[in-house]
Amino acid sequence: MTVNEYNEAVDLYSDRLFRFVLKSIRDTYAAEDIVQDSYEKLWKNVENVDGTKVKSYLFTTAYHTMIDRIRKEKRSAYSEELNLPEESHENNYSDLGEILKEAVNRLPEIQRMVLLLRDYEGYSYQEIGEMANLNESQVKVYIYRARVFLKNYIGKMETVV
Amino acid sequence: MKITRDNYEEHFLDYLEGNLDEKLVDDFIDFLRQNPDLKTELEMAGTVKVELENVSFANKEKLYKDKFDQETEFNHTAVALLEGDLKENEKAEFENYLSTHPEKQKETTLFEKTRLKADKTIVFRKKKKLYRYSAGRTILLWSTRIAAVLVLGLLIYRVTDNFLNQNFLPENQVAVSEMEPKDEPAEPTAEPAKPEKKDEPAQVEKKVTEPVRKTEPKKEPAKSLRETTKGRMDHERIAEAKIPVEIPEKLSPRDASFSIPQPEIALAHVKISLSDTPAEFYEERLLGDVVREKTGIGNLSLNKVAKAGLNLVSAVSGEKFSFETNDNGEITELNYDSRLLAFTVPTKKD
Repeated sequence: MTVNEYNEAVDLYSDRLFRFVLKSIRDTYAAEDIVQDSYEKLWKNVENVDGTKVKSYLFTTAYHTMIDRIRKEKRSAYSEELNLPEESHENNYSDLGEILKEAVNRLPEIQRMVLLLRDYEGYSYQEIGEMANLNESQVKVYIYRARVFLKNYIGKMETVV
Repeated sequence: MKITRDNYEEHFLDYLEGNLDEKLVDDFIDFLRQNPDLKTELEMAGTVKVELENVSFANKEKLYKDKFDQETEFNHTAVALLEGDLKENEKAEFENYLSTHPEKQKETTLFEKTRLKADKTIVFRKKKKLYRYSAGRTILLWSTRIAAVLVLGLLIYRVTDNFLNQNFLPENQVAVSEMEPKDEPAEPTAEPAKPEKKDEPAQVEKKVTEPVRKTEPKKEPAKSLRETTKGRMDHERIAEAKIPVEIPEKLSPRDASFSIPQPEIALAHVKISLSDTPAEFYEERLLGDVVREKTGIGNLSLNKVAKAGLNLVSAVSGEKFSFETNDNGEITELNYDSRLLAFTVPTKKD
């Protein structure tokens, strides 16, 4: 991979990677850090990464960085989380987008990330599996569970509205 | 158990169905002998047989269940349809099911709504930080940045210096208005100018000295006044040494015209033939122009220099500092954004 190809990868994928990470962890500064880390790792391996697999490399790196962060945060804040009150259901939703956003936020992290990879980037089950170290069936199950959860949430909220 | 008139029915039923216990057969016969009326009842009951009628349930269709009626199966298929995982026959089967179960179409519509769409307005702001350059380009880039900062510094120094110098003028002008009624010719002041200011431009000096002439009676003249007086004195000395020039009388205007005779000779015809191929032109150009064009120095403007300087500041601050430009490329605002503090300073008034 050449320097030009690397810089093209910045133009092509940094926004998409940022969106994926931001939606997954919902922390702008952390998302920026993860995007920068991913590109830093890409740069360190610039000679070993095939130009055609850059996008996959970036998303895989970002995915695993996020998983590591989430695990660390859960370990350190597990007891605090237990005492957290459940999020209020009395939000005022103006449209479906808001309801869906709220529903996505309530998904378990892995389901959310897998679904984002599927819907935002259009990755196949196999590709997602390779990125997330999951087999195809697991990916399908996560996507299935996520969609059913979202559908039920939307349905419930629409009824309430 | 002894058979009596109170419990004979169950024994009669056992007898009719062939289930009567063998131990009770003798008792049963004795009971029938003793109760001939019940024997007649038993004979009557033995002949009764209910025939099976050909009756069927008409709404059986409504009771049938499809595999998609199972919630799990339906959800799986609906998700598979959404993901494009269904084969043609499976898809047709599911769609057929939906057409016969309109109440389920709402469910599939809800599933369609779960498809997430990326928000394109979300962009990564720190792209500049990710770009990498070759060593040569990096050196050139840093050289340009350093040069830009130096030029910027020089400009700021010049502007500040000019501003400070200009600030002395109003003080002197106040003095002028006070002394104006005297209406006397200006006399040179006795204060000698400082030697280091000798090389100031004549124009500036003149501006400064003019008020000085009228502020002669002031006991404590301004610093700038003293500095410029000597120059004025020198000037006057030179003026005194001038030889008066006689001005000639004003000349009256004269009319004059030229008449050009038109040639009567016919012009000769000249044929010019142009070759098909365009001639090559060699343009003589100055080396300075070539260098200016190649390096882009000619395009250098204050705005570009300022931007280069701000880019450097942005890079040094880890992109916490940034700036916004308008459509004309002019810098409109300066931003500082860190985890603890964020502010914006507009540079242009609307």
